[in-house]
Amino acid sequence: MYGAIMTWEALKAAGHETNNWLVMGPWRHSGVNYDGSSLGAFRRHTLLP
Amino acid sequence: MTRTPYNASGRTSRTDSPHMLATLPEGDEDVRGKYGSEGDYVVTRPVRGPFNPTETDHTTDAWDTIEWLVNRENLPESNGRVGMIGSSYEGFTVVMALLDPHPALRVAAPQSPMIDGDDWFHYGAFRQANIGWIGSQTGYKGAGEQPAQGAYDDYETFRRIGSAGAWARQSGFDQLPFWQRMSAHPAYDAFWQGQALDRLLTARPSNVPTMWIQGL
Repeated sequence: MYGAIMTWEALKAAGHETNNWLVMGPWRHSGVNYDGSSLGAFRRHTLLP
Repeated sequence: MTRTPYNASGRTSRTDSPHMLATLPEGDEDVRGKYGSEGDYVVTRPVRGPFNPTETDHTTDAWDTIEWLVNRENLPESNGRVGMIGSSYEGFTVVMALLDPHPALRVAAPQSPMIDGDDWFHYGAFRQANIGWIGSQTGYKGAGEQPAQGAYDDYETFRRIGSAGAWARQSGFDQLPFWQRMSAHPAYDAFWQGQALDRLLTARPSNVPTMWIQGL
């Protein structure tokens, strides 16, 4: 947990919020590219309501 | 479009992901010196300047690639708009493209990107477990192997060998350029600060809509 957070926070502090968004979620490094089947109930009820 | 040191031909399989729109053409490119691309591979090649005296970096390479992609003589399916996505090293190449984005770059999604050497010195602590990556990634043009560690796990390996430097010497990794660069800069000095993308991008912010993605 570092790069995206640090850079987004730096851009936000410099006033560049309008075209930068931060998305965080319960996945491992690069796990956002996979199906998330190991997330169990969280995936079923929260990510896929 | 994704620019990768991990084999572009394999990356195209991600179009099978339920998160990707299969109707969009996807371009995957090997970075310089890896797999199908010629030239020298430099790990997280710094932006042009004091730490990269050449005329190319990932910013210019991304620009040139996008210029090629939006040319319908090369890609008849092109609608003139390109998005970049990628995780980790591939997130680093997305962020590098934002320093001087091609006008056709309309959206960017860097996922857990390397930003300032944080993959090596995470919040200042050296990650010994990543040493093997340096050997397999920089010792071979294509897929490489990590040396046998001679122990059940990383804990036992490093307990036996005693230090990161001793492990590098035993493996021969101390001869690799990237190991030598890291060894010369164990602190967050001008070398790391000068290529820190949070600082560079804040100084040269882009107008590209960008979704920064991070796993918890």
